[in-house]
Amino acid sequence: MGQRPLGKAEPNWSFERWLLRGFNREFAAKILFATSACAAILAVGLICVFLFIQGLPAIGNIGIFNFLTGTEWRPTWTPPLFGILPMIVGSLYITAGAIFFGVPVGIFTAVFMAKFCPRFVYVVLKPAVNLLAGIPSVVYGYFGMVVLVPFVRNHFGGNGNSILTASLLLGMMILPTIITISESAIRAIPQEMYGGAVALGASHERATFFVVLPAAKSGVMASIVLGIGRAVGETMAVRMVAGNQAVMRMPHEFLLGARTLTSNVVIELGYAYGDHRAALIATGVVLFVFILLINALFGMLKKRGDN
Amino acid sequence: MLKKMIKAALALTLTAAMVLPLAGCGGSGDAITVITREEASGTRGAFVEIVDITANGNDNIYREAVIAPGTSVMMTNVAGNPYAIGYASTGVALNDDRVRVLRINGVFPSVENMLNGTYAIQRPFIIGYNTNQGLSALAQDFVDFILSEQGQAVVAGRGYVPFVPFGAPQYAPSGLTGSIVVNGSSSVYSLMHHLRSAFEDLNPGVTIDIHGAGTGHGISAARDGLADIAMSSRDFRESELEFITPISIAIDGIAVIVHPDNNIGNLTLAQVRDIFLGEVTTWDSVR
Repeated sequence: MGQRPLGKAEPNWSFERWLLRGFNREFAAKILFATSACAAILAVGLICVFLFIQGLPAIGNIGIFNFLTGTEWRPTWTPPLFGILPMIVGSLYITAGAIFFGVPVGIFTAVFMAKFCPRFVYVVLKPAVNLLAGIPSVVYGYFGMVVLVPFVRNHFGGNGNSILTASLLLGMMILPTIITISESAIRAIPQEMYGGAVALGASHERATFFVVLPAAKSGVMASIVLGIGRAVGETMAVRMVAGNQAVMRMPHEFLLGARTLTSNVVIELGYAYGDHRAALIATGVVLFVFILLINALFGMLKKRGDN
Repeated sequence: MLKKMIKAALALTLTAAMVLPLAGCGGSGDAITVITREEASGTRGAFVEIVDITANGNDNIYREAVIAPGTSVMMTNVAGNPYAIGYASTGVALNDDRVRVLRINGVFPSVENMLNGTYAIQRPFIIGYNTNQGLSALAQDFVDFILSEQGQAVVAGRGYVPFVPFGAPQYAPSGLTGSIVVNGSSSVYSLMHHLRSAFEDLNPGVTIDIHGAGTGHGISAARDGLADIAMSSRDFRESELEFITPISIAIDGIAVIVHPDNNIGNLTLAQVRDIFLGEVTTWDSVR
């Protein structure tokens, strides 16, 4: 009963207030966000340092020329041979194939969804695309093994575990990236541009393909580059359908199998030790440089688009 | 810009359209698709050694062979390709009706034929533990169970040849609790899975984690202290015996498998060798 003595706890006491007493709340928030940001940067930095510390000596031992341009990968032989050129070209072919199949389909789907799609189709299509992005890659891999591999064997020849099969599968897997980003890039183009084109007498199709799509170019390009990033980094699905032979291939041998940089690491890292392990980490360095280049390209395209 | 892109795409499509039929006429429908396991695989190691697919002591399996990482990928690959030939543990292959098991030199890989030694391609299933760390009490108990009459009965019941066919000691549950980690050969995995079920039924407080990451993986894990027990489907190499102690638990054959539609029934060991070396490339030449 009676009045609360002055100087005691406030009636609406809260834990948060108690914690922040004497603190500037803004300062506390700043610390929190800065820590989160640092954690992300630290992770990238650590991966980078780890890769280069462990990988560069191996490249030095093998010789950068032997490593990057050697066409024989025989890690268990005595003496071992560590040439990753077959894997570099394998990654390039399979990624290029994925772009070949995935990009046209992806961009046209994005244009359709942004400009031509009736409402009732859109409500089905949009979740379907999102679902495509959510399917685990091992499920794609299994689908590839039981559907695409026999399909390619029966309709194109070869044994089915081939560069073509992996490209088809990866083309499918990069679709959601390309569709989602391209669609939002197309939607971000001001309606006035479309309106202006139509006012000058362009048809809906003409205005879309020759005014809106070129204006969304930088966003569409960004989607392609991100798709390439996904294709280069994909491992699980590719190693289930690509055949994984570490053999040098020429472009016309796309019905034969190939091994990518990522498959090479994942197939052998578990049991490798000594020089073999170091060579695999060095393969990781090469992959890392690949991804850095792709990201740099992405940044360049974005900058050009902003100007 | 857009026009250029369209032109480029058209050019690419046309090139592809011209190259596709050219590439199509290369392979004959009778070509053998050789499927092998990855180099870490114990099954591959044992197969290469027994069939002698080597050059100067090095593994020399056909370079164009499709590499199937894991027993299950091997089975799915052979089951899906009428021209395929592969190999897998008999315990797995004989229980999977999606593939057909071949006779080798006229001998079928049955338990009797492995016991009397007439089936050529057989190897031991081995488990191993880190020599410096030794076995934990629970892991020791599990090993005792595997080598007991009950454990060896599980081995025989799954179509493998028991390592101790007669006179194995009786196992009495010890009442220990806790968990152990087992890692290694994907061929031993399915047998280990059944041994675990039987052991856990007898010892309710026990959890056994089994990973079938491959023989090489398992040995590394035991070396690094990440697994109590490593499973191997080949003999340990000299370099591995420096840190690992082997215990044989069963004998297993390696079955040479083909698609059920393939009408071949028998291959000689020499033919198997030629196929996996890439010296014979069509089914016609071995029928």
